[in-house]
Amino acid sequence: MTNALLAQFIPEARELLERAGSGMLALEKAHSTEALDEIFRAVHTLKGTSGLFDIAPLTNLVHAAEDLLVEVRAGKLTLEPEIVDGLLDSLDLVGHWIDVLETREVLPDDAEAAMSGRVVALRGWLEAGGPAAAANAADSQAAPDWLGALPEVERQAAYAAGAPLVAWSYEPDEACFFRGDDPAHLVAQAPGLVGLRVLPRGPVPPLEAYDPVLSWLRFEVLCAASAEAVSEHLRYVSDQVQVSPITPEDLIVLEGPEDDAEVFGDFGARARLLVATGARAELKAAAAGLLGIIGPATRQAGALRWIAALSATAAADALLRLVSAIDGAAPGTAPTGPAAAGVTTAPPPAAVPASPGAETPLRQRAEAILAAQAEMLAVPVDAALNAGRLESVRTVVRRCLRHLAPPRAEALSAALARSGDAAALLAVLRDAADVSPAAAVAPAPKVAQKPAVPAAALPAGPSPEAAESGPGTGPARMLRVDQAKVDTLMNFAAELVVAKNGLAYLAGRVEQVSGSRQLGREIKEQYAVIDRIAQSLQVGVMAIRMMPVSQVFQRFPRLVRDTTRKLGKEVELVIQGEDTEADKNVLESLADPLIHMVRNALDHGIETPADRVAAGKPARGTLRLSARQENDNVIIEVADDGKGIDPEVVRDKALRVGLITPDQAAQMASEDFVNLVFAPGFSTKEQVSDLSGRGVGMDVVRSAVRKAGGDVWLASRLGQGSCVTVQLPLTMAVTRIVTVESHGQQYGVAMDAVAETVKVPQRQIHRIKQRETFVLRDAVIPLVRLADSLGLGPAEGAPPDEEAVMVARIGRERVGIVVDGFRERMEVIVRPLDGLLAGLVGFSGTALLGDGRVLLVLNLPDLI
Amino acid sequence: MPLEQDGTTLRLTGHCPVEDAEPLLDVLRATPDALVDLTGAAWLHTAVLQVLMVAAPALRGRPDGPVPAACLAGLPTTAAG
Repeated sequence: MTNALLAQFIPEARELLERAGSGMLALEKAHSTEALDEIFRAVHTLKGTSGLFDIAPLTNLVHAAEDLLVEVRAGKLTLEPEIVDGLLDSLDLVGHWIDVLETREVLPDDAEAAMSGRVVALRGWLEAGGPAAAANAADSQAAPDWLGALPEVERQAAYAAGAPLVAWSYEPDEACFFRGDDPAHLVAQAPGLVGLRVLPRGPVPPLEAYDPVLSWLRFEVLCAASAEAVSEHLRYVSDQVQVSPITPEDLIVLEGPEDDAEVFGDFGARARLLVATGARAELKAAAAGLLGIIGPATRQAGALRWIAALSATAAADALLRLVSAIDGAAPGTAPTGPAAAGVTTAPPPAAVPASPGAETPLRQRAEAILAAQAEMLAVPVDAALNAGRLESVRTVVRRCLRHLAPPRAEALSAALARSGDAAALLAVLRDAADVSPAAAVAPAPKVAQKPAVPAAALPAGPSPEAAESGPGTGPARMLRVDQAKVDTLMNFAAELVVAKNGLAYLAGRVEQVSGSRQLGREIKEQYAVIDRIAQSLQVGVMAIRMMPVSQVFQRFPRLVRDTTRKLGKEVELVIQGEDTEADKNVLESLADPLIHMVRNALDHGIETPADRVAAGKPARGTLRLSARQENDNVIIEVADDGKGIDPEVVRDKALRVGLITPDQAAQMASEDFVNLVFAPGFSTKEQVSDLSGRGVGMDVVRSAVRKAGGDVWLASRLGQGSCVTVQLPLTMAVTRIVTVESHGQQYGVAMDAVAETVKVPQRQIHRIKQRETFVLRDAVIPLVRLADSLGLGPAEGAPPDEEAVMVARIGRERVGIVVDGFRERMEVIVRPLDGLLAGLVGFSGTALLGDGRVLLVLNLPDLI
Repeated sequence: MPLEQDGTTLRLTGHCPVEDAEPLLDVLRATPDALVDLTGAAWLHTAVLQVLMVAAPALRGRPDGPVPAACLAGLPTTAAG
């Protein structure tokens, strides 16, 4: 990825989405202010950070979600399951976009359309929440910039109609006539149509070359109707329209050349008095009188026409804003804000706007934002970051342009046009700051610079907020490091652990060759020191990679919720031991198998509420996900209290598909049958469902787990439930092995697999049919000769009186493996076989010994 | 047939569907000084409106409704006959 800023944004966004998602589920169960705050912070931070990139649909969607959360937090809206669904779906969409961003660095083409649909849905709930909420929602989204182009009379009519108002643009696609669309008819039938402009989308083709079957129009429409009604009307062309709810104030767009006649000052003073005294008729007359003597095309004339049109109906503060726009000291200011600090002292106290924050002059805010950008640009960074930073600053500046005074906006757009020139942009930005010192001292910029920086501050992020809030403001100081770097460190640590083994070998050599026991002992002492340090280093690096199992578990509340809703079942998810830690790679390899298992449990295991009640169980099933550490393993269990697996059914099915022979079936215990579900191509459920049961699930689970060096097995009691247990090594980097000898060759065996080592006298070895067995503490254990398994041929000379037997655990079976002898224990890095050796069965890899020899490490399950 | 020609005067009547766009275009190409009479037109399909916008003939009368009005706003009008 070329944009380093974006590369940082992506993992951060994912983390925020995850936090928001899990918070949402917690919130649905029980109302908790903390969870709500957490979601809000996550969504808010995401919105803020996303603004740095050119991904407006994402920002808008997150913004809509945030607005909804604001209402929930204020207690104006209750979090219904449907709303949670909507929010989760929106977050999913954002997550999908993040994935696309990661690969393509741009949003998918349909993002805009997908966004508007979601936003309308989210805003719909807002509006349902109450009129106050509706006003807020409309407020928070920027009005489309073409509003000012609509005829003034139509805008005034819409203003008179009042909220809800919707502005939408519609660009029927070129081929729409072929589908039978009549765009003009669709527009004409729109609910509450009050304003309309039709214009060509691009250059109009000349008459000679004109093709009458292609559409090339763009409609800009103003409707006095709710956003849902409009969206419903446009549902078949939703990919071609953009719908934005607006407030009546958005309609007052004043354009035209400035007229600086002194007469406006007099009018302003008089008009304020008239507004304060409520003499609306006189106000209208005064406006009309002034209109008669000035040019109709000026900005002031526009404002006067608005005053004349609204004088009878509008609220006092709206009129005062228009008056300020006429005589204000800050021409060009967006008309929704009172002009400047000096002028706002004039209106009577009654007219002071209720919410000062919303009324702060937009220009001052824009100034403050620009000043912050200048500051940020001035901080030196390396080239990789610089490109992304410059891009984000350019985006921010571009967005500020329309709120700035025209000469400065021109200077800035000129600087923007010279792409890549950071110094020039910085110079112009700084100029801008100097031109308006008022902006720097006014209290407004502080508000603007810190739009409520979330308590959980961004981790050393690239945003202007983070640049401003120095180090130590976050709750914990975190370091975001590329996993590859930690992996490299881990590899070196592991190499060191192995290399130090060479010292022990060297000490032995010194004693042998030079006969100096003293020197040998000193080397051994040094070895002990290095050993200790290497161990600590390894533990330390491993701790970096250790992650709590909750990282994997946290997606399950959502999965269980969605799946059970789909299946019409009721399931309580119990999660235990989520603090258990395991290596990141191990956890990642576990994620997909776990999803399979949980889906299986929900789909096949737990019954419908009716069936459960009939079976005398509580209607609500329980799914237990638990994790714990056992020695060097993580044990993860997925247990349900559902109907369990019928071993008879499994046996019949296995016989039918030929997985086992009747002879084998006769020898198997019932718990062996249930474990047949892990065999490839086995699915107990006859019917393939949308969720699981395609006959690949458990097979895939087992191969994934085995690949990660673990094992999986299943226990089930008919009618009472099933429990799938996954055992995985804590870490995959360094393996403890024991070396065994057979025919003069040494082989490694992972220590985890070895239960014990025993000497078995020849006479205690019995033959049962083809197999040799022996009895260990009242249990019959089958024997396998390693030399036979490896095809090394029979041993020379007389068999020894006692056989060295390694009792190994394979799954939950115990098997005795006859070897010639045991050698040493050591820690090695097992390197997988690749290249020509990749196909070799029976070996899990190779390891390098201290003396430089290569050791083959056995994969016992393959051999037996 | 909603499209009738009488010298340089074209009369569109009733509901003019998308199929009328092409013949209308042909006639307007052949008759540069045409006058299009819309007094009897109830509804013009978008494609027909587009042809009128491109060819910009003199118009007589307008179909009802804000959409055709907005489309045809820029075209010259003669007194309704």
